[in-house]
Amino acid sequence: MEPKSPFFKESIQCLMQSPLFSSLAPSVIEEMITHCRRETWKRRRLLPMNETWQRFHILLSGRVRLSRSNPETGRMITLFLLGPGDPFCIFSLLDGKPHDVMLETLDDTSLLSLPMEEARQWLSDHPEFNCTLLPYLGEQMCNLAGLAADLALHDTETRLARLILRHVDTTALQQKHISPHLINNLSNESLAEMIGSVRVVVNRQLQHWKQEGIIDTHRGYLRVEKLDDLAQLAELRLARTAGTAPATL
Amino acid sequence: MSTQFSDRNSVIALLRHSPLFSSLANTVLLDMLSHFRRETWKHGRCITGSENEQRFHVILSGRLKMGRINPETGRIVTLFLLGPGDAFDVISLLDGEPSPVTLEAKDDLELLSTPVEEARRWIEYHPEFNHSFLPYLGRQMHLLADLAGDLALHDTETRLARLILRHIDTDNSHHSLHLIHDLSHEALGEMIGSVRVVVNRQLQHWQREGIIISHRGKLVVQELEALLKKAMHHSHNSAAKPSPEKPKNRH
Repeated sequence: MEPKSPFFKESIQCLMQSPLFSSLAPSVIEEMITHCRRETWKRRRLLPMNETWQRFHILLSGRVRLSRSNPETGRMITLFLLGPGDPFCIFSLLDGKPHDVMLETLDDTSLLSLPMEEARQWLSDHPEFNCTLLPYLGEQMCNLAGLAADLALHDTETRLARLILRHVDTTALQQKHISPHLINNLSNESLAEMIGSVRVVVNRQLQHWKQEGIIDTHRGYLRVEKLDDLAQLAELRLARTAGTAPATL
Repeated sequence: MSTQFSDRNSVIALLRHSPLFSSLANTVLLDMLSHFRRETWKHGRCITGSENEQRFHVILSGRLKMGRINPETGRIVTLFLLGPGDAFDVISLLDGEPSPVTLEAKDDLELLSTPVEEARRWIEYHPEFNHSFLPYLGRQMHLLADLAGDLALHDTETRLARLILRHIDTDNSHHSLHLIHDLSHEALGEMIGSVRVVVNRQLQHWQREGIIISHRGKLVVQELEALLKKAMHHSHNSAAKPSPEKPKNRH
């Protein structure tokens, strides 16, 4: 992308807000963006990984999910739900191979992309990027480990409670109505695909919690009303201090 | 600290087989050893999250199970079965948070270890380590994705077949298994989110069909094609249901 491009400034702003890129010097970010091209993908676009793995993408706006599916049953499981500032696919960046995952846009999205080879070269030219890349990878791995453990060890109710809590901004715990980040307007079917369940089960559970006043839905947006009750259902203790992640997640 | 490595050359020889360290220059490995100390853990040693000191370990010999536990039910799921050349706990090394895992030595273990902070400084100082570290992280993440995908999408029979196929030794012709060949049925159950009796029943069934044989507690694959079919085929008459889906009667 040329620095003259009308989208150049917007791209810089987005990356400056991303935990992954924010610590880089502005000149480094600008230089990186000049290697990228801007793309826009329509909502509900499905892409198998073998069509996308040769380019590295950074989301500027909208959400993308990475899933696996069972073609025989049609069931899906979402491995990662990504938002603005998130890169994908990390797997291919790390090991240079295509992976068995399906990409799907949940919104109209805009993104930056560059050839995977260039991204890998950029990575080895900028070892300072490690300081944010490694913690980011740790977080993603921890989420994935949490998903696998939840699937093996907990029932649907607990998994759904944990999913919602994972998306609660821990600095906003004192607020009265808490809107979870990224997932708050997903369909019940999409929520089910994040916990290895099905729409009807999630639907029934959310209705039940609504009757108990634990959550509320307003125009399709999910809000947590009784955080402590939800944490109890998730079998988790909440770290109340602002800024600390719930350690038991 | 390096003086304790009287057999430094044999340690370096072991690290040469590790995907993490094999490509590093000798001088870098020697520098690394000067920061690590040697440890041994007895077979069966268990460490839970809170007791786990903030140390980073590299396995020289033996196997380690890294899992998570549901304290209410006592059930365990194995996230990684690590072997020689592997390192742990990579997640807490990366993000600096202690991760809620339980560790169990499946053999007598020989390890190298160093405080997590020190390991981090060492990585920062040796950016060339990234060339092997990042692909290693990619592989570990891929394994987690496989586990989560299997748990959500496949029944126990399929998951067990896939677990076995992932551990087939490609180096030899008679399909012996790498890392999991002599695990108990309980330990295999923990690797696929199931329980001993289910794994037991399934393996007996496959043994009758001639797909696998178990000889003196060691599992060997006889009919690779048939097992591949099981790994793809999601039969409806399988030994058990997929992951727990029954709602709790709390209210």
